[in-house]
Amino acid sequence: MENPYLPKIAKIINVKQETPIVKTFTLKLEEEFHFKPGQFVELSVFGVGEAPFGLSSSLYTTDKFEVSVMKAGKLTEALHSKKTGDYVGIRGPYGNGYPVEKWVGKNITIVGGGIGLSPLRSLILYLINEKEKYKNIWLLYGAKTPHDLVYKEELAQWRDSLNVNVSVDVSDENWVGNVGVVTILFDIVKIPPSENISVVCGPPIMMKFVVRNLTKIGFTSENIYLSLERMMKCGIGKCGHCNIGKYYVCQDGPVFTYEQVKDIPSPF
Amino acid sequence: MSMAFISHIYIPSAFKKLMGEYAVLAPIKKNENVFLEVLQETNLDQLHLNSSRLNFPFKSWFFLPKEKMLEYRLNKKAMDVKSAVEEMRETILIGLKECDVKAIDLLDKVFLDDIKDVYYENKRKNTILVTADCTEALETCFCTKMGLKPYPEKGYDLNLSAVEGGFLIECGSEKGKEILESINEFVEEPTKQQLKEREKNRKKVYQKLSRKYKFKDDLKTLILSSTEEFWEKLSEKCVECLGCTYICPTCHCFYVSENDWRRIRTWDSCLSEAFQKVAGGANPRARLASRLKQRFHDKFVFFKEKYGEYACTGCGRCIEVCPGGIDITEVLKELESQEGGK
Ligand SMILES: Cc1cc2nc3c(=O)[nH]c(=O)nc-3n(C[C@H](O)[C@H](O)[C@H](O)COP(=O)(O)OP(=O)(O)OC[C@H]3O[C@@H](n4cnc5c(N)ncnc54)[C@H](O)[C@@H]3O)c2cc1C
Ligand code: SF4
Ligand code: FES
Repeated sequence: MENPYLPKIAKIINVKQETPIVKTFTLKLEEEFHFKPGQFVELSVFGVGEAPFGLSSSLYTTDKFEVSVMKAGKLTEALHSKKTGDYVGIRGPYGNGYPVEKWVGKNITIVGGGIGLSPLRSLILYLINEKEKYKNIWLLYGAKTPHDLVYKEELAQWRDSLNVNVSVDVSDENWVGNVGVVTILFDIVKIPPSENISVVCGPPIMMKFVVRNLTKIGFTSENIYLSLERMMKCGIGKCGHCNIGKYYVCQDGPVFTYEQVKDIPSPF
Repeated sequence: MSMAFISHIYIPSAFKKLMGEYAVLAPIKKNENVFLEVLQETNLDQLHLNSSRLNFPFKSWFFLPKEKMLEYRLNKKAMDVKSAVEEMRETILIGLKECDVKAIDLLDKVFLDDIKDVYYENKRKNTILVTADCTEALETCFCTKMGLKPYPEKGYDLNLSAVEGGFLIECGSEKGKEILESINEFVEEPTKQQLKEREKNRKKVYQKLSRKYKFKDDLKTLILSSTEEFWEKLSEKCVECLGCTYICPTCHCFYVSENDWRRIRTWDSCLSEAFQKVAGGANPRARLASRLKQRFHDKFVFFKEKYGEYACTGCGRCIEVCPGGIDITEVLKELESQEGGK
């Protein structure tokens, strides 16, 4: 009997400090690792526990993969103390991922908040590689302060392929970009709603306001895709923790259209 | 032989024989209390062949209240991770009623879908189910309202029906036949009279039950018609002991934690305030009313949409256990009267 709860051992081969509280871990399993953008893994810090993290690297790299982790509690703190050469456990990939095939031929508007850019990075790396399949791509990204922006160097590189717009809630003396919550970018960048798919990931309150803005511009709820976050324990539809309405976020999500969840109380 | 009769006189000898071959787990009565225990020579005389469902759910055998999932050992710098699925003896489980086998059937849908929960699967594969007809209905039973009958027709290996002087034994599987074969010397051909008696008994209990509760059949629509105020009002009674979810034979939620290089799971409850609370403190179901609403929606709406059946067998254990006096049948009846008034 195969045990779906049994993690595989992965070695940490690189740790990058993204912000004061976010680190990107590059992990390597003994075997190849294949996944779709938008999927996640259950990561074990042995002796501490297990928690879900979105895959942030490119699906074209299969000999290693990355997760970006914000310090938020017990497990994430313990993970932050891990170094190159240490071992963690991995189960997955789990979840549905983004239905990128369905979006072929469309414009794509990606909206991220803070650490929410992590699964979106995997999507962006895919879209850059398959650029000719899609029309225009916008990225609207917001973080609390300039120090809280993740993937800073990459944001600059992505400008070659996508229309990148960044804002911070609170600026500092060196910041020359936009200031304000991410939704102010909707006033600065004119986004055409037709033939346009929007993909949103970020804190609950941010998603709520972004959806409101998108709807105002004219995006239909079928064309708004959200990565939802819920308490998770098993990742495989057994423990019941991640349930929202009739769905289990771990299996039916984490990616949902707004249409699917809009009638559920506090969907974000 | 797929049906046989065993006289009361031979029951201890038949069990003794089976105990040599299998582990036998059976209801044992000590004073007024009934426990599930391994049947032995020493407690054989306390074997309690129950006339209606027991007060604990049989899920606790297949899905332990607390169980070890993994064990680790530090090996140089890496980690040896071992799955804690234990080899177990084939076990005969005695004392289940129709609502108990139905509950197991519902748990199978969760734990044995395309991704199999090994701990549950291990138990399930190595357990032989011996069920029995109900010869009495409890005050809280409403199984017939959930579409069940008070006697099992499938899902068992052997089923017992009490008749004058002993039990009729019916086989429901190859394994059941094998077991019946092995106690061949203690059983005889059933008589027509005995078969008739079984039908009569079954009808009697069935009728007694069907008379008890009346609410309409489409419970999904009924629950969906509920208002937020309804759950707010209900929450005034709930003391959040979580008893109803633990005692429920179909509730399957669990928490996973780490302890001394072991990963452990424990029963959890969607009624618990912390159930969906995430790092940082966000809690989508912070209000008790929203959690009670969730519990009822999960049983009668979501489970139905996902697996095609209600996650309630009408066993009534939650009615018995609730210190707040919440009675699931009253909740349904009240919803119905509100719906009718609309
Ligand atoms: C699909 C999905 C993808 C995620 N991707 C990322 C990511 O890429 N980067 C990132 O930094 N964070 C991500 N998170 C959030 C991350 O899982 C939590 O921050 C983490 O579980 C907190 O664990 P902790 O032990 O540090 O916190 P504690 O508060 O100590 O939590 C204890 C345990 O509760 C559970 N838990 C607590 N919060 C959450 C939560 N928000 N979601 C799920 N389970 C939780 C976990 O099992 C956790 O170990 C994601 C969550 C989900 C559901
Ligand atoms: S048994 Fe009653 S009081 Fe306890 S959690 Fe359930 S509904 Fe609330
Ligand atoms: S995380 Fe356990 S059911 Fe989704």
